[in-house]
Amino acid sequence: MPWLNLVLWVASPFLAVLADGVYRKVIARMQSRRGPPVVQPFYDLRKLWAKKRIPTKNDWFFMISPFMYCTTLFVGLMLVPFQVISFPYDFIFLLYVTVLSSAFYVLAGISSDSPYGMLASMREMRLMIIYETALAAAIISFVVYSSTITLAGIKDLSILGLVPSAVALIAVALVESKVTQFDTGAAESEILPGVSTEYSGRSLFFLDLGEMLKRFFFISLLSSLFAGGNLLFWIVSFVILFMAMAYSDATTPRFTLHTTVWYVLAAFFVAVIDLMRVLWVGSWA
Amino acid sequence: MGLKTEVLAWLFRRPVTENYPEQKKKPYQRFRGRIVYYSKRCIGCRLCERNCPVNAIVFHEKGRIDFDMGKCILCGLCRDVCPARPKAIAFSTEYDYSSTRKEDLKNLVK
Amino acid sequence: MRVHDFVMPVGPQSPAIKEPILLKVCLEGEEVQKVRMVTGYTHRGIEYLLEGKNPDQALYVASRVCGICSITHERAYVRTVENILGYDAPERVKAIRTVLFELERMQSHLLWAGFMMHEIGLETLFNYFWREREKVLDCFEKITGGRVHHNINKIRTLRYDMEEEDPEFILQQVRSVARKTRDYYNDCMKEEVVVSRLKNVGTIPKSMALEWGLTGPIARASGVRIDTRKIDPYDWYSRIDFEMAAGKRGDALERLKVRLTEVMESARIVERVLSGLPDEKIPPHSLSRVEGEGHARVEAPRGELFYYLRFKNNRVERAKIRTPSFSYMKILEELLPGMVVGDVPVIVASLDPCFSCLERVLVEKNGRVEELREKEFRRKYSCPG
Repeated sequence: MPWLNLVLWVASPFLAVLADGVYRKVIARMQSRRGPPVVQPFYDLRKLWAKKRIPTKNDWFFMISPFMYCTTLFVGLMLVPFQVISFPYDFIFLLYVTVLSSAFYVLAGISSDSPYGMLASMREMRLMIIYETALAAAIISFVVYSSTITLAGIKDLSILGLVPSAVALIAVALVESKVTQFDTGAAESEILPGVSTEYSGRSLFFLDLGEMLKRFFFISLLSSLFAGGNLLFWIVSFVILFMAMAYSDATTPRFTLHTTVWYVLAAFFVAVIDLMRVLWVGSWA
Repeated sequence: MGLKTEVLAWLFRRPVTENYPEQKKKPYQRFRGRIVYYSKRCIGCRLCERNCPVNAIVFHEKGRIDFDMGKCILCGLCRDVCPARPKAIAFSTEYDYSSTRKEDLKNLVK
Repeated sequence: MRVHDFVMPVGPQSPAIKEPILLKVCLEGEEVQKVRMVTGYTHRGIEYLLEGKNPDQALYVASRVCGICSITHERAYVRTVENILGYDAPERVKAIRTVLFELERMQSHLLWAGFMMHEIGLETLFNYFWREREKVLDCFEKITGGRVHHNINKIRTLRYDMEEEDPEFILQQVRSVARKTRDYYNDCMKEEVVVSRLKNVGTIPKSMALEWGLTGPIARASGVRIDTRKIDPYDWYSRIDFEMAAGKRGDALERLKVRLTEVMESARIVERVLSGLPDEKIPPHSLSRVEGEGHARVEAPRGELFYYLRFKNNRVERAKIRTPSFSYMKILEELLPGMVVGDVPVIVASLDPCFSCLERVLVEKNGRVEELREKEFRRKYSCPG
């Protein structure tokens, strides 16, 4: 039913923002607080859209990066989970889009010309080199395991055969979504306001929306990989991953950059080794 | 109960947040809120005006005194030194008397 | 500072550091090379404001030097005046003062603990500690009428006495807070990430603590066992047996340990005092007449708080307040170089500075009041020395 998928894809930013509202509410409850209303992110974004953008630099990159960050993720959502289109080797396109969005994020930080932004981007780049490769390895493992060349063909419950890759993927997803442990990487850090320091108004709207899309994108991606095409498994997987992310956010303090680097390195090795195993096993068949 | 289990337990408990402004907490009786001035009890000695650490009290005449709640630091010295029995100055439990206009920051008069 | 250093300003408005201070951090990559501190954002001229006030008025101004440790300023002021008068308060007054003082210590340390957890990134514990702190603030509100500024101490006596049911109420809250604090303390120590972020971070060796004249939990965590409650006891501290929490290494983890242990110890002190509360009436309060000069010190949650007052014609002629946070104003410039950027807020937070207490720049010179610019102040009065 491609039409339903198309509608869902267009609605995905709303779903992502709603998911963020629920996320905040869940974390607040865990902290014995009442928390903001679930629609709070909508209010925040609407306020940002209406505010004036105060540019600190008349730079093309500065203007365009947040918008591109958001758009690349939106394009990525086209493939997973909504599968509006499906073509051979589309997982490579997906990887490209993911890395591109991270690159725009980093670019946003650097082009803002503020010490906070640059520092945040430097950290993010350090981590990016490692985790993007880990992500690539893990996704390829899943694709090879299901003997398919498109994402649509991932077997149901493929997580069962690929537990190490799944673990590595979860680790990478946590880092990319900037869950509290890992936000030394970039935004919302104590030390620095991060990449979004110099952005205001509509640019900040896109940056914030991008953050929410990213989290949604990653949990959706993981759910699609773990559960395959089966809708019920997908939903279950989504909910479990969501709650696990919220739980880890609430109970773990922030890692230092050094520790985060080791963490993503470990994820990288696990993903690569698992990929080799899958290829080796697959070569028998 | 460790942190990790307590976090999960709170998902099923009512949060500790007070739902202000629907549910306003009533402070304890000794709470120093907005000043109440009993004009009939006042004897016009001006001791409160003299002893206020921040000069928030303006005496016009016996029975008419202005307490500028904007300057008031809610220390209670005016009430302590008032010689009238019963005292002409008291503190209510009203704590949310902020206003957008400076002139509104006045005491209650009874 | 060389022109090509990468300077990252932290503050004065910073989500990281909750105090108004400007730290110009020179970075090379992730490592801090040099730090320059600029203060003066909350200077209100308290010492100047105190001058010309009569003793009872000045009490209330003094209590508003700091919001977190307000009762310690009240108590120090009253102790000074009572020293000048040569007055020894009745036992019940002393007991109640001790209880309130220890409650303030608990409240201040819990606030700090929450703030520390926020810097590390563990927001949950931040909320939990502050939730516990609300119980202590409730006690204060019930007895004194104010959550932050209590204004219950009066010269020679107290403004209110405790009612019949108050000791029970206090005990109930305090026991609950102590129990929860112990749980969270154990959690912190077991959580590897917390330990790894705090261990060997911002180490102040014993020699440095002695040289800079540090007091309070920071000095105790570095192994300097001083506590004004033991050295120069006041109220019921000479009667009650309590332990001084101390550490050895002097890093941020030790300071966390010392402060949380002090919370639990304060709870015990409160229990002991309340169990032996004498049954007598406290004297009624009145306006006082004070002449002469005197000084006194108390153990504020952050260290030793020292007051000097001089009265003439029943007015304050000169007040000198030396707050504990004053000693470690410049120590950050020594501690931070060599650390990673991520450690900067952790170290600043672990010192528990209270900048509203700290700002004291007015100096009287030859009878003329002279306001010093920051550079001159630094030249003349910065530590050590």
